[in-house]
Amino acid sequence: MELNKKAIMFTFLSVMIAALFSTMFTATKQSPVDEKVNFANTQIRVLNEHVENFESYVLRSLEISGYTALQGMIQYIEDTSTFYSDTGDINNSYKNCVQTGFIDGTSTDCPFMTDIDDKTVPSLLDLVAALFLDELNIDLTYSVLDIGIEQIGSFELKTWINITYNADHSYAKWSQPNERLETTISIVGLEDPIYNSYGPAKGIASNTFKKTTITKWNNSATLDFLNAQDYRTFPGVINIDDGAGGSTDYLAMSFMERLTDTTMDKFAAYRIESFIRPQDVSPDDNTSYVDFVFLKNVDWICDFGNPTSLYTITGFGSEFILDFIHLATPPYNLTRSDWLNNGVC
Amino acid sequence: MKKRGSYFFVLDAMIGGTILLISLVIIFNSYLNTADTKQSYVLAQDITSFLVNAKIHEFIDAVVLDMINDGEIANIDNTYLQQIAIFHDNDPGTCGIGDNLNCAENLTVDLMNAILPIQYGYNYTIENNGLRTVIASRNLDSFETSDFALASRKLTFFKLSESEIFGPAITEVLIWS
Repeated sequence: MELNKKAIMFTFLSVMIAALFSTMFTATKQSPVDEKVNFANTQIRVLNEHVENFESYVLRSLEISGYTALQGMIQYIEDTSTFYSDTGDINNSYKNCVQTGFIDGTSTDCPFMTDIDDKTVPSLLDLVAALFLDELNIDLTYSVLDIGIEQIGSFELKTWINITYNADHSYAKWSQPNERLETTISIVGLEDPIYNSYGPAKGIASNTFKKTTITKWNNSATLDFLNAQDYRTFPGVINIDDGAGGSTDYLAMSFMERLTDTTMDKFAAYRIESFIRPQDVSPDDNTSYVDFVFLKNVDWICDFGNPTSLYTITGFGSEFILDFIHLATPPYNLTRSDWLNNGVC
Repeated sequence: MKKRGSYFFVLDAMIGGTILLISLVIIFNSYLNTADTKQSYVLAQDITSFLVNAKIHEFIDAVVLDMINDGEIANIDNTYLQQIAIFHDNDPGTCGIGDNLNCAENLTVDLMNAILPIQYGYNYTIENNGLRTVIASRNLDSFETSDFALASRKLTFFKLSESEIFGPAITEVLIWS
């Protein structure tokens, strides 16, 4: 009987110890709380990825919309025979095209912006906002505060957008006031406004910007450059005697300058040029076959002061003519013995 | 009598130990179940991360190489997510790989076979312009009886050209076992 009491006591103690251990482990696990926290963290991380993707989408939309706006703005020059007055005018037109699809912001269509698909930034962002709401349960609202563009390279533009957006989800909310997002747009593939405006009178309808891949220049490379109708940077200044004691400087033009048909000092580093192929135009013996003088009817006056300014070149055909500056400016200089002043002034 | 008492003590200790052992087994089993789900979630995330980040030139097997050689894949700098969406967008018809799958399905099946263990089922869909398209799937029949199912959804968009964009669309990879 004594032993039975002890046995009962030990059994009871064993059960109590087991219960104690069980309780301790169960309490330590706290699985319901941890799992909820992990689940919430995961949800927020996934939602955060979606919001970051939204910013990436904004940039891609701006690139698409901006490039199309530039196409439209160039077409507008051709349609109206009117260049933009300055970089402020360019920026206003660009902003209007990208934001509203109207070049003046109210009534005049910006070509290409709404022809097939609406490529304004608000239209593209509305698509993603609807998708966020329908598929991801994220209520996304945004407001475009400002849009702009500037030239940052011979063939590159920087475009930016200032945007405020809010994203609401049952697990988290994001509020991003006045965020500035920037990206670049290449001018490659856009039509050259100078060609579009002045080319038809010379027999050339258009030319699109293409950056030359040539890095080492010689006669052969220059001939390839001519035939490809590519573009290259050109920092030189052509000075032409006017025959009356004065002279005029002519400069290659950057993309922004080609939109205004004027030259501005701030774009000096970005000036580009292309050559005119003789077979595409009516012959002109009194000019250099570089776009910014040939298309704009700049003629050398042979009788006064420039007797040896224009040359044909061995291997380039008898109609292709270049001026002294282009022949002699490093690194584009051509072999001196190939300059032929055979009859041109 | 003393001998009988020691039997009782041994028996008591065994009963107590058994109870303790059963308790521990129950507890640790519950931990193992949780870890299994987490592991599967990581797997689902890894797969979508692979699709989003891996470029074609970084992972080329025989099927992909055939697609490149046949000109069906034009840009090996595209990610796999992009390439599948491009195939879906272009509706290119059949690929020249000996079966009648279209290119999007062919590429997806090939990829998923390479990166997702065979015991998992999956369903790869793209929703674009309000239209949901099943690109490829495996073990659809087992979905109803699966222990778990995880969906990973990615906002999908990319430039088709300087003035054209694909999307925004949602690519969903549903994985189960």
